[in-house]
Amino acid sequence: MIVGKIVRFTAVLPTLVISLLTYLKTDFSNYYMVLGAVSLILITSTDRLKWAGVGLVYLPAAYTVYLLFSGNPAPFLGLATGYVLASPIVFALAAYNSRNLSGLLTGYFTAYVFATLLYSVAEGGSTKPEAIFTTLVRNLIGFLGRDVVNVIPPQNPPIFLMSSITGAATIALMLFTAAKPDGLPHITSEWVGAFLAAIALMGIGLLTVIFYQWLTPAMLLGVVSLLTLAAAVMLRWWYA
Amino acid sequence: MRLTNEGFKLLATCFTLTLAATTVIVYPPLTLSTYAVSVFALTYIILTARRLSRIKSTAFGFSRRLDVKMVRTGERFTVEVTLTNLSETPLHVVLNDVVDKLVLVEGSLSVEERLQPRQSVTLRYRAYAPARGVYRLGPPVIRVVDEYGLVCRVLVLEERANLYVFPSTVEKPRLSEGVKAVQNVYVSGTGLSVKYGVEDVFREVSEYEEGQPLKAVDWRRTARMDGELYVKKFDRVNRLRILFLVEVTKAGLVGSPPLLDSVFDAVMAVTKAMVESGDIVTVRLLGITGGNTVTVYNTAGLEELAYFLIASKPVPAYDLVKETEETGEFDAAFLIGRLVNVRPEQLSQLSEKLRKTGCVLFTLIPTLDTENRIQRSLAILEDLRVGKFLHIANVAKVSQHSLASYLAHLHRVLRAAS
Repeated sequence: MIVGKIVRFTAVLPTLVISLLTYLKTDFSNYYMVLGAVSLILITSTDRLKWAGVGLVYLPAAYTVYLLFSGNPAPFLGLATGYVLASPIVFALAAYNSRNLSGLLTGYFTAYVFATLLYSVAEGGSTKPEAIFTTLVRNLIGFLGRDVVNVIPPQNPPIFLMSSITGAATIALMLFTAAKPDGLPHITSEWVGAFLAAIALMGIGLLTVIFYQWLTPAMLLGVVSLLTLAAAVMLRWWYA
Repeated sequence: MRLTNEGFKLLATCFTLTLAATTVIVYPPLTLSTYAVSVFALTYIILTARRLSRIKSTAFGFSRRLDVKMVRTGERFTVEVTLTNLSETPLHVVLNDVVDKLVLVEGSLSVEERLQPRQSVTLRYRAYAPARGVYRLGPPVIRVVDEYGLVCRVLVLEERANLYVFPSTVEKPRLSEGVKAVQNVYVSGTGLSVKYGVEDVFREVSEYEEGQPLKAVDWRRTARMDGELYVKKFDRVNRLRILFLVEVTKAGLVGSPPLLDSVFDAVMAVTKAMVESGDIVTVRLLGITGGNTVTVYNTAGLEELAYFLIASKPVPAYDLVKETEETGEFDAAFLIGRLVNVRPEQLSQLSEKLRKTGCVLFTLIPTLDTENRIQRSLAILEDLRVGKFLHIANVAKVSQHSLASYLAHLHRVLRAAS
């Protein structure tokens, strides 16, 4: 069981690290932001804490809305920013609690993207709660309005650190397939074959990233598309 | 070969995320990570599919067992399906069975197990059949799933098995009904001897000819004579030829158990007694097109008759005249049914037609047992309808639960007269 927990924890580690880097740059002077972040995390926790989370969500939300209409928007913006800042952790928790690889992979990807986006905002200088929230909203409106596309973060997390941790997370994601509820992962010959194939093709992808960056997206998508097609053909006709 | 639900979700997730990571969100570590996991998952699926494709149905031993020899309507029975891994490798299997229209009352139709070589798993469930007929069991479907539950191979082990469900026996037979007198009847027949019963009548002793059975040899005569073998010859003279004309219409589906089931039950029971007495019984179902006749010469043919009756499906209506155009030669015939589609004159014509061939026709109209006011009211209406037939010779109303005893009584009368 402990092996499974370690594997899942490693899989969500990149999100936690990026979130930590984001929080280090964030100004937590608005306590409503802390309240928002904690309540959102609590609501995804165990049943007993969930009720506490509901209390912590609805009461401050109602109170900050009252304050907003009273002419004091800072608590409302702080609470909303707290929710936004906690979202990568919530996605990471959902991924951690997932029981299948597709769920873990989806949670991992979503949490990673949100964490990177928030890091980009914080690294860009928006450290105050109001600034973080308004920047995100502005980006969202710009994206939907086709005006300013700011989805690709201009300020990325440290590439070397993140490459190492993401590499470990990738191996953890693969190991999760073989993980058992109790005991060590059950490694089959097919798992080893697939692992080696993934490492080999990732090596080619890495070389493409370094030397032919413009070709990378097309190459990676092409390989995955071909493999998907091959899998479909083999399952449907070849090995029918 | 198929993907499991989880395998399909993973494949779709991998492709979608790779598409997103290479077009909208391009952050090299995340993109390469998503790509690597996708390649891993897809390669694993392909390699596993290749391995599972080598597993054939011969890798499994299969048996199905019922805890009863004869299944009757409403009676619960247990089915045990056992699957054995005959291969040399452990296999993760999901065994599913199909029970057609049977009602499952206990247990599950699916079992999942990781089978070591030579290990077995048993799927056990209880069910019952709501009505008489032929039900299908199976075919059992085995899904051999890979270790991580992403790919599975589907194997169908055998064809469907037929389960013949017999009508339930009519409960609480009444003694008074069983011994009540039947009306005097005109009986025809070719029998010569009441004394010898069904035993064959001795005709002569003759010399043995090649091909004759040894059991026919008269050993006493042979011993007394000069070494030649002699055989006894017998004539079968009082074997009755009996015809059952059974209406198989939807009008017989009333009651619980249905009248039709009671009729079948009685016909089977009486036919058994008749063939054990040496008679030849022909059962013809009225309303069934094609293959509607079965002749039973001995007890070995009873099974065929049972399956024949069980598999029959009632029709809305039939034409008595058309169905009885060719009847053959019989000593006695029993027409059993509610006669909803029959007019009295048609019945009289049939009776006359059979009489000319030396056959006597008995018509039995089964009636439901009444237990409440509504049923009694319906029974009165039924009596009014049936009344027009009762003036014809040898027509009688018979209670549902005493059909068998009534038929047996008629048979005894016939044998005594033959």
